[in-house]
Amino acid sequence: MKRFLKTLLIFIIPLGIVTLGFEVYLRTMNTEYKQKITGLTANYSDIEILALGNSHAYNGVDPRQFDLETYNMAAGNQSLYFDKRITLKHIDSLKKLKYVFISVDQHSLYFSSQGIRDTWLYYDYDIKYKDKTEFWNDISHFWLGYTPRIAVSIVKDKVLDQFKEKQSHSETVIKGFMPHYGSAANAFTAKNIERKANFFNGEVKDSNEREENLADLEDFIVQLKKRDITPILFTLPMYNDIYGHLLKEYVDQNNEDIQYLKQKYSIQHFDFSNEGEDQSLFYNSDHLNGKGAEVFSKKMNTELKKLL
Amino acid sequence: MLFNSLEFLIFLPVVFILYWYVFNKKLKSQNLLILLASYVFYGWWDWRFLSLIIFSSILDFLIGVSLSKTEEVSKRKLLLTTSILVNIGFLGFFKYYNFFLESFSDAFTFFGATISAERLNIILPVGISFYTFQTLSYTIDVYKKKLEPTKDFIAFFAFVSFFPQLVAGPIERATNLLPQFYTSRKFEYAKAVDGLRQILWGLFKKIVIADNAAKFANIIFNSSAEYSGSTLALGAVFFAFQIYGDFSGYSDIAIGTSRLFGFNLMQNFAFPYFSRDIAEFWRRWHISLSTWFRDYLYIPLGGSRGGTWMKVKNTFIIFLVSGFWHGANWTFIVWGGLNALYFLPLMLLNKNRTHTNVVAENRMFASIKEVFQILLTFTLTTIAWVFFRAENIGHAFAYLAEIFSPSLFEMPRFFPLTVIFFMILFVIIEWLQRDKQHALEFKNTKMPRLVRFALYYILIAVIFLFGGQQQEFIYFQF
Repeated sequence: MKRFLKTLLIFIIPLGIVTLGFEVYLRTMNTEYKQKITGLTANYSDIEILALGNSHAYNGVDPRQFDLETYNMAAGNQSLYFDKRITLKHIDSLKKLKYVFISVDQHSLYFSSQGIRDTWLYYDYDIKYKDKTEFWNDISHFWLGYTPRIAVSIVKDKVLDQFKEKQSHSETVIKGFMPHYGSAANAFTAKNIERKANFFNGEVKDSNEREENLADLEDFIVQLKKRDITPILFTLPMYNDIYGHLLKEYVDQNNEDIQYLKQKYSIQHFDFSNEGEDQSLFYNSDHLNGKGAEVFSKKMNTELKKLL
Repeated sequence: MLFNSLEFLIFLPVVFILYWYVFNKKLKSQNLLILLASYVFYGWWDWRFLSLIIFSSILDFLIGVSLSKTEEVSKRKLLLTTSILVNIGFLGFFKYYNFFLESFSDAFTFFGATISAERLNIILPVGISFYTFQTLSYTIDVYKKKLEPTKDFIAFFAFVSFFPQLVAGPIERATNLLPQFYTSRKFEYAKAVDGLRQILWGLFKKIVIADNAAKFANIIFNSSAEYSGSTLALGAVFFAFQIYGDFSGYSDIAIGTSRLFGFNLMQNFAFPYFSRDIAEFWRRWHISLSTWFRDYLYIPLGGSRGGTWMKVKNTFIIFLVSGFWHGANWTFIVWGGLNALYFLPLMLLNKNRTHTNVVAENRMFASIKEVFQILLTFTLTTIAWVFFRAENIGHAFAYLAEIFSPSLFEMPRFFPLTVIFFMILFVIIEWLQRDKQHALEFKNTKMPRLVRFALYYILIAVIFLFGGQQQEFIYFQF
């Protein structure tokens, strides 16, 4: 038995070292999430507007275009579940906060987990996963947040990124905002547009979370209003051609839900979903590029000024 | 609990350490630990269904004791019948109730009558088909006086619920496994190390081969109407690798795990895709089930002792029942029937035991004839798998009709090079080791430890980097 355990130990030690190495690297790498949360805490005393949402908002709301001090806390695939919890976690420190922009897209009410991205929000933002037990939260990026395959590919990409000459987006976040440069190749072919629409259709069709997410969003709105903070819903445009492929039933349902929220809580909805005709403003069929972000952030600022 | 889960990665070392370091003083306490660990392992999935295993264990234990106390034939028969009826009754209720209900309802409708019957929302307890057969082997063997009934209820309960093979086999005979619970088990270095190797190979089969093949098999089978014959043929091959990697992978992990605890389970798969005819395939595929049916169904029915008609009838019965054992759907019955049709000519021509040795024994390469035989057998088997995987019989026929159409010669829609590369590598490794119990068996090898370790590290890296999305083991549903 001793010989067996000794051999096993000799065999396992290199595996353990490699695993530990990955874990340390994944925990300490300077992610967008780390940059965003550092920026948020450093600007606690200045922020007047907080923008939330998924990548549409992350790449589409440029804080520099607002008259009031704005910070973008949206992130790739960030759900309303996390929007709410991130805000409430920091709300008491945000002394000047007056407005919270909540992004509501076609699929926003239909998902709460971000899949593997939940890990970053747990480790970097300290927001618990929705459906996992505490024990599993605390273990590891390497084993739980990602399959090892994804963890390895993140490390590999990070390493390879050092040698890339051209980037598709800014490497540093600007007040939480990360603009895309230009447009992605082949992003506007009919096939790719349809594929993207199918992604959204699949997301809404396979979901049974709408009612729960809607209730959670209502609670979020109530909590903001209690603190005299004005919640504002907003929808950035996607490229026009995509809308024809979206399932009408769900588009209508989404409009109904937004109308319901607007009326019940007397809140504004800045809706730009009909303004996606100019392809040069888009990075791909559903994300604005830096130029588009500038245009629509200015429009949001104009709309906001009307309320002041 | 799944073998390829983090829970099991923690569970196994904990039980292993307790077994050899804390409970190693007394055989009874070791058996008790196995019993408790097995119940935790099973209860992790759904603790409510533990009651079924416990009930079956109590019943068969008591029936065994009662059989030892009576020589009266009618009483012995009654006891055996009770065991069979109750065990098969549970299996029938949980697995086949809705199937029979719908089939009768359809039959009445076909003849113009209607019956109102309500489907029940029944959850199929994991592994019920496996442990039911295992515990039945005990009462039948005790009835036939091939086995002394046990008075050690802990040993018996541990035998019925032995966690490595509880939910997906191998289906052990009481004559092989139960006596291993009576004798003290000594830790053997070589056995434990080989067990770990077998576990590693099982994980590779499951995670790299089966789970990756499953991804494409699922896409192709789920939307088969959209694809060409060539894509569907590829889908069927992917499924053939999926089911083999999945099920034999589970068996390897089960056998390897048992060896860590000093137990020997029977070999369940002996490189079946290298078979030269269907008879050989069935001697190499799911051996524990095939031999179970042979010993407890085929032979009691008269086997091949009678005339031609008896042979044909018994062959069909055993294959149809085997198909039905796999699931409550006509597709499985057709799958069984098709295999009977494949098998029958060999049996009638008395050629069903032509290939009892390992293919290309003592040679590196197979002859052209052997290659042709292997490919033909694989093709026939894969055609039968289409029925096994299809949603219903209509789906299977439509699938096969498209394969055997001119679109077979179009370029397939999918050709995942990485997955195909690993499938080819897998076949090569299995071919090189085809005379062993499993593909990572290195008995009396002169390979230096460093090289062996490097090989294991590469396998682990491949499992981590190229493993498919975690899927439940297919045979859990049976």
